[in-house]
Amino acid sequence: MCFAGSGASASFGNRRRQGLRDAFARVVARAGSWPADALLIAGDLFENDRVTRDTLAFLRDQFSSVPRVAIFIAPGNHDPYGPSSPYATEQWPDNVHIFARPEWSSVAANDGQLIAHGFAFDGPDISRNPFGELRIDDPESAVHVAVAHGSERAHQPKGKDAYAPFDAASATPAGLHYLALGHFHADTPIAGAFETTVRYAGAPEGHSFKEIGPHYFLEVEIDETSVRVSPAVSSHFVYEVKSLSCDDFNSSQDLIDAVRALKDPQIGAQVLRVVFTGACSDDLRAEFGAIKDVLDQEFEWLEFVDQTQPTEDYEALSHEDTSLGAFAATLSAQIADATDPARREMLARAFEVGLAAFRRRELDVRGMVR
Amino acid sequence: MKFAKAWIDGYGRFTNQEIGLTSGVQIVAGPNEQGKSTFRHFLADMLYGQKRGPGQRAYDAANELRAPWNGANGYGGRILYLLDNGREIEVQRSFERKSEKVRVFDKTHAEDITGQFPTLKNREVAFAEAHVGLPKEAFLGAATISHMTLEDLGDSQALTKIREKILSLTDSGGGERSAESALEWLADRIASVGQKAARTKPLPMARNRLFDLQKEYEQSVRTRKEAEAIVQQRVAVLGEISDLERARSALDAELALREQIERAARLEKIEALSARIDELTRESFRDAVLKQFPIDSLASVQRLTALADRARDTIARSETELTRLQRDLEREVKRLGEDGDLRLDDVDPVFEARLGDLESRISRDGERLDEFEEALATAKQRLDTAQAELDALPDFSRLSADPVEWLTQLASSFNVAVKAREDERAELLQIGEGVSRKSGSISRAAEAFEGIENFSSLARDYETATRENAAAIAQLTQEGDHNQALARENAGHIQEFGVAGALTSAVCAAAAGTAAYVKNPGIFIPAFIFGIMAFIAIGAFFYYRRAVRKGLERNEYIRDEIARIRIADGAARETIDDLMLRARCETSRELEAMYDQYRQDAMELSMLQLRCSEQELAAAEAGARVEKLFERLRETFERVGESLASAEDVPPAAKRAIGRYQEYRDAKRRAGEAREILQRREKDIHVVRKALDAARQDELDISLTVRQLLRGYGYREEQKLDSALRALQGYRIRAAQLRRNQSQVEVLRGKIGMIEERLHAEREGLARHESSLQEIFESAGVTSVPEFVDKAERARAYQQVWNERAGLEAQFDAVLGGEDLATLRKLVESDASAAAGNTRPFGEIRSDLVRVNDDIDTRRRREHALHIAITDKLAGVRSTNEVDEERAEVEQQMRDLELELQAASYAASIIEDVSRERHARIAPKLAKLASDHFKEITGGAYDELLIDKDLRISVRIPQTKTIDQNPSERLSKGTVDQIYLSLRLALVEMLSERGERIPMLLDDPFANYDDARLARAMKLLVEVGKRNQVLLFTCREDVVRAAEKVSVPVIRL
Repeated sequence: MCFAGSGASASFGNRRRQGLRDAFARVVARAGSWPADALLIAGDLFENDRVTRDTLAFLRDQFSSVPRVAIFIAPGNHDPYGPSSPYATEQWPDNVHIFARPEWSSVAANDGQLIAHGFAFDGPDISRNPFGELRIDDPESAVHVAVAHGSERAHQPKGKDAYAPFDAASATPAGLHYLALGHFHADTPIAGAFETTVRYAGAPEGHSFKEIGPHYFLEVEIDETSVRVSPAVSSHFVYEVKSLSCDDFNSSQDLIDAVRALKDPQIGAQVLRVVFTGACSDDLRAEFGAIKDVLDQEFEWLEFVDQTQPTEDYEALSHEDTSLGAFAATLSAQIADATDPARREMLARAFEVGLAAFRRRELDVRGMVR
Repeated sequence: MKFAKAWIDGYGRFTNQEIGLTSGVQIVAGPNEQGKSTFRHFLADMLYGQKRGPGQRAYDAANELRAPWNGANGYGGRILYLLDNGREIEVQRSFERKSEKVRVFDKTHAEDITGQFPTLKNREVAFAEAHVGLPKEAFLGAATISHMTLEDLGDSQALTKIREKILSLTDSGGGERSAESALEWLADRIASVGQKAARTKPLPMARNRLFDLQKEYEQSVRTRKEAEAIVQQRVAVLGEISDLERARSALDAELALREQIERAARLEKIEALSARIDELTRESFRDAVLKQFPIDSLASVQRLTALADRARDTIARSETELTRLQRDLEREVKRLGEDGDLRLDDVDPVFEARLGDLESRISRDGERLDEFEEALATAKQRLDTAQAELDALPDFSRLSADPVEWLTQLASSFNVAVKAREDERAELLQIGEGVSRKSGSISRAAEAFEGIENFSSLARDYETATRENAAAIAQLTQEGDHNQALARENAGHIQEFGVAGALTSAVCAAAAGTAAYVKNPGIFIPAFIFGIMAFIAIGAFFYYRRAVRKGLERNEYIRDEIARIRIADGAARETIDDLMLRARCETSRELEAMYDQYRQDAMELSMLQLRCSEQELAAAEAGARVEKLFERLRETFERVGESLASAEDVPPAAKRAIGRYQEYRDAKRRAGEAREILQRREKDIHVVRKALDAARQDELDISLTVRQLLRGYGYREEQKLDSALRALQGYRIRAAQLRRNQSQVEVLRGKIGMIEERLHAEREGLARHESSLQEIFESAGVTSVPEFVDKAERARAYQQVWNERAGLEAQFDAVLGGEDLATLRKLVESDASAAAGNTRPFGEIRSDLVRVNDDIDTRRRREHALHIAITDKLAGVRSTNEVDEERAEVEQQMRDLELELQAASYAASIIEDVSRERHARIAPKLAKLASDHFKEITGGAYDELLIDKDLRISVRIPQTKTIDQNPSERLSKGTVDQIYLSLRLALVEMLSERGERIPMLLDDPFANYDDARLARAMKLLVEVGKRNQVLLFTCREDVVRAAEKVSVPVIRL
């Protein structure tokens, strides 16, 4: 898993990757201690082009640690089954079954009481979409579960590419008790006019500020009459986005106290983005860097997004017959005229820097290591 | 705007105070701590409030600081002020934090106008910004001048500080940086980010890091691909291992079958071995008695016998050597006895070292004495030579301390005087030529303008009249042309309407006649219509004819008028035309230009003539100075042996005299040096000779002591040696030889002792060997070595039979393989059919098994090696995730830094542009106003303050008439204060020009003023007070007195 582009540091990426491993280890340990008859992994266990030997060794060790739990893996678009994929080239423990073809196949477990159906992506995009082709021949003989990777059309998030798209109704043949799905990162139950219980467990941990809040794995209990699904928190790292208005802050201490109040002791590792809004004095804004330094150690990760408005009336400043006023007038006009966002950002920063230069105010150099 | 009244409910020390203020200058006087500054702050706070900034609701420190001391009557008050348009405004304000309020009333129109002003983010009503025209910072910065500000200006950088203050006020309204400081700040910021050339700054470092990360990423991807290939090889090897393990299982089964067959064969072999063992047991009974014979001692017996023989030989050799050494010892002892009376006492080595040292010193000093005497003779010779040269030259020592400089100066002064004379003469010639030229050039104009008193007035009148007359003629001509055109047009109309009238009259008459003739009244209607038309046409005919006549009459008048004007114009031009004729000018402009040139040339000619007279005097003086100087030079040069006939002789004579002086100086220097060497050498000779004598005496004393000592030691040869040092060395050599002989004797004695000890030990060893041999014989029951050997041979034969039997028993056990014989028989009997089976030979199967195992091992090693290779390949290679993340982080950092760089550079360029434009705009006016004030305050002592486009302040220094860029060191503290006050007053006046007249609050700005300048400053303030209200806060009585002298009202606190 790569966290480049999230704005976080490389060291944070390493901590996050370890967080994902820890979350996975907790899920596997839970499966072993419950004990679960099977662990269903609906793809995207890793990324083929980025997975390391160390990660593969970790996965083997984890799977070996629960020899009595049957593990079924349906490779997804990030970890498709191919001749050179780790699924094919590595030696996996005996309790692991990896579906290898882009068509449904079945495996019995637990002395034939459980039959798992699944298929694999054979490339970043599957060569043929097998959803809708699953048939349960002998529904009464065992519990039938299926594990697969794809996009359920009705719940497809906007702006996200669809992979092996399907309608839940056509993908749930009679006799199938549970369909475990993978691809969407959030816990997503799929309801409809069908008997099968269908659900995306989501990623065991959030990957960015787009995936805020806790993440889960699903504990599924199936008997002759019912299927019960219980989400259990798997995430240690929890992304959160909070907004704070600077209107009533008189000093940096007020702001520090307000951010500290956002700390959630229930969360193991809080990854917090604070969006500052309202009116904020230049003096206070100049302290943002120092404030972040103070608070950095108190959160797993902390970032500030400044969406405040200046308290000063720049319009009035622009009318002052001073060089500063002329500077403010010139740049205000240029900012108003700028259509290119990058130029607008540069002009806004030039305005901020120029004011600081006139006003003897310290202003952090963005990008400078403090 | 002018403050009129203040009612202070509670503010600092004031409670229920009412203060009336006048519109001009007003003094607020009182001792320290009576509330002058408090009152000043009250006025400012009433206008702008006490918030930290326009966007901050928090109060600044003043709120707490200015709270009423007694806490009663609330915190706040009222002020009344007048705007320039005459409106009276009253402001009521409470500074209480919990009940803060502000109300603004227009007293003129009796209405509450608070709501007419915007409310700022700090909840302040922005009425003061609207009325004063300045924000709070600008008002405080520009309009209030406190004594603290002036106190800061008293050092040598005062004008620089004033400039910074003025820059700050013009650039940012005061209290903030000037544009220049802001640009410096930005330059530092840009430098801290780092341009491309700066390798160690964050931006170039980030660029380099990004480049490295890109390379690392590419390397990581390459390495992973290579590792992938190795993984594929490893998977293939693992498959081969699996195949081989299956083959090994098959071979194991075949081996088990083969083992059953082998087991049957083994049972057969075991039976045969058992029979042979029984046979050998029977054979061994014969020599059973020798079973215990010590065969093992045979080697000891042989070894002891050999040792005893060797010990006997050694003892014989040692005895021979002992005899030889004893003979050598006797010989050496005898030789030593020949030097028996020589003592081997050591002579103190100090004697030898001392004697050696003295000997070398005596030799060295002798050589030095010779050298010094030779140098002495040479120095005497040089002194004589130099003295002779000196006698032959003039005695320059009586002329001057530095004759070269003196002579050079004399010659140089003379040359300068001659050059000055030539210059004056040339200048005179040039001016004379100028006078001639100017007289020539002016002659024509002088002739022309002779008798003209006031040509300018004449020309101006002429110009005015000419211009007016031309304009009148043009106007009349234009009117005449218009009339002419109108007359032509009207003449056309006359003809047209004449014809029309005639025709219509004729038709009318004809119709009327016809109607009458035919008695048809209907025909009268057209006759009537034509009659009316004839009437109109005839009327128009007469109208146009009259108009033509009037136009002709008007043109006649115009012609007369033009002629009159031309006659009058000609009279007026007569004088000028006459002048133009005399001056041969074509136009009056040319004439005017000629007159101007004539005036200027006449003035220049007059000045040239004056200068010519002055130059004649100067040339004469220069000539007289040259002659006088030449006379002095002639006398001087005679004293150094040079005679001068003319001025041309001066330079070569001076050169020769200087050359002679240099010879004199060299000779004197050589004589001095020779004398100095002479004295030094005489001193050296004396010193060396004294040291030589002392050394010789020391050597003699030590030699006597040494010789006496050597004789005491019995060394007779010392008498044969002439040097005590040689005798001492001879004694030392003899003593060393004697010691060597004595040590030789000791060595021989030691060797003899050692051989005696060794001989004793060898004899003891022989006895020990013989005793051990005897013990072995007794234990074996023999008496001699041959008997022992015979019995030992027989005992060995018995043991061989017994050993063979033991070997067979071991073979029996080995074939049985740890199994029980009965069990083996049972196993063979249980699977008799397998014994008859047909398998490959045991070895062949084992060989295949070994090969398969080898293959498995080989592949396992290969698999292991591949595993290691994969690990090695990926060791130290960071995952692409990590590299990507760091790359993203560095890219973000670089984007941020580039944005910072771009933003700072752009901000700097804008600030530079706007500030330059603004400075250039205000500088001239500010300089003019400030100069006027400065001149006023200093009573004209200084009349010009200059401010360039960068607002650099300089002052024209009256004493030198020069502009001093940094006059702070020349000016007194008071003058610097006055420059500052002039500039601040000028600045406020300039700010006031844009809108409301800004009141000024001055806090004791006259600390360093003398009485005269204080009085003049007060007058200036009175003048300024006519435009801007001035409240002057002071604790000084002299200021109050100065104010009272010019009738400035005073409020005492």
